[in-house]
Amino acid sequence: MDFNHAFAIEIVPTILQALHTTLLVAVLSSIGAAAIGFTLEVTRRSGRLAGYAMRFVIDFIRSTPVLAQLYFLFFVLPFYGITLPAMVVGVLGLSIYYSGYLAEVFKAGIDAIHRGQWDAAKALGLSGFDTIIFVIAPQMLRNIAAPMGNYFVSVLKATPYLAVIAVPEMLGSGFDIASDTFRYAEPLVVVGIIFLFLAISIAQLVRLLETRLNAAHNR
Amino acid sequence: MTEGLPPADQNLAVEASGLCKWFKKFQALRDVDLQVRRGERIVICGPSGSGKSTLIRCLNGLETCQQGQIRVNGRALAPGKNNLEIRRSIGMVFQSFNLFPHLSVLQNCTLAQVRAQKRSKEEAVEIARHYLARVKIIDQAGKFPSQLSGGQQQRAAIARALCMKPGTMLFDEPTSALDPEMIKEVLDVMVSLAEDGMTMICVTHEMGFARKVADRIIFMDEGRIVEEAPPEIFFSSPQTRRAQLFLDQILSSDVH
Repeated sequence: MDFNHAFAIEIVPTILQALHTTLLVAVLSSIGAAAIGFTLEVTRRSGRLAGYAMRFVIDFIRSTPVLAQLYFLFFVLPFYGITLPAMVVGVLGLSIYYSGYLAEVFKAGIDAIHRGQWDAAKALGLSGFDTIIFVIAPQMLRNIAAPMGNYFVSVLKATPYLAVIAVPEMLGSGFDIASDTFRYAEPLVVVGIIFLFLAISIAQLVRLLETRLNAAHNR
Repeated sequence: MTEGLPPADQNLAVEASGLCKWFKKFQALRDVDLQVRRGERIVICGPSGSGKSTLIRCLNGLETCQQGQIRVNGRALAPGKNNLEIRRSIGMVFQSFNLFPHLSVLQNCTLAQVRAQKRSKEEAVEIARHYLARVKIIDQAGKFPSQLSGGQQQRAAIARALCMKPGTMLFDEPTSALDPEMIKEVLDVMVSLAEDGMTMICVTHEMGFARKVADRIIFMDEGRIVEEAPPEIFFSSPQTRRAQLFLDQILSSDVH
């Protein structure tokens, strides 16, 4: 099978139409995963019982396939009267799945903070919530910018899973072209190149953020 | 809650009775009683591992005791609770400064004022600038902790604690992490606080400071208060052999 350059260029606009869906899902899922993951980790630290419960939740999320979780949200929840649009299920599914991994990253980032920071916050009479938000979280972010960025790239690369629940993301729309034309190489290569470009962009953004966070600290 | 303690006395800043504290199997405090009057300056000394730091960390609830009661300004410290009100009435200065590295010196001083004391931003900044001037680092207000020397960082930490307008200040070996030439600038600030009548409880090895400002020296060993005396008596005629040995060791290397 010859690679047809003209055909590859011709399908770019069609594939790019799905770009905004892919990006939207990736960005919302990254935010969702970070928010849920941070909540899981902070709750895990809040007490012994909560610790065991959250440990179980985090391990459960990480130990079951992301596809199984997506199918569950999409096909099983409606039996209990919860029917959500495919897009919402997709964002929710990826958020939950990656929250398990991000919780582990946050744990490492918080463990690396000197114990004296908690002491100082407590001694000043800051509430637990204020301590987490104003003292711990900013220092944690600085510790984990790089690994957190890696997971944001992973979230982006996981968006094609949402094709199974009919979210019109990029790989799916490329594959539609392939099915219609019986030409597989061009759509897959075009989609691959766009993903590569996006992933490198995210990595660069994270590097920039890391430099700025370090600069603020060492200024 | 407060059995073991006499009725609250308005003249007492801190009262502790029968404190016992274990870390796993190691007993760090053994039946410690302590009463600190308002305006009194206490220096706690003793060999390392004698429970000095543990004792003052218990007084504001950073550590919880398994036995005994603590009362601060007549208010009982509730074990396992947040005790925010009590913490806000006691300032604490640490050996390792523990400034917040991601905030400027000024922001270090305003954060708890705004979040915990609910002061307005403007008021908090004004108070912070007042105390930063008092510890003589107002010109460093916009810098980050990592840009300051150890002595400056510790003075910033003292200013941060003072911003909460505490009635009592706890010092946990405030000069132990400092280079010798920076110790004096921190001690000078502490002396001036003492002269202003602040209630102070200091864990320190600075015997010159103890001699100068302490109303009472408390000597601890193996989790117990072994000896308690005004400095002139403690230094000239220690009653216990343990304190005598400790003083011989520490004073032979003391240059202050």
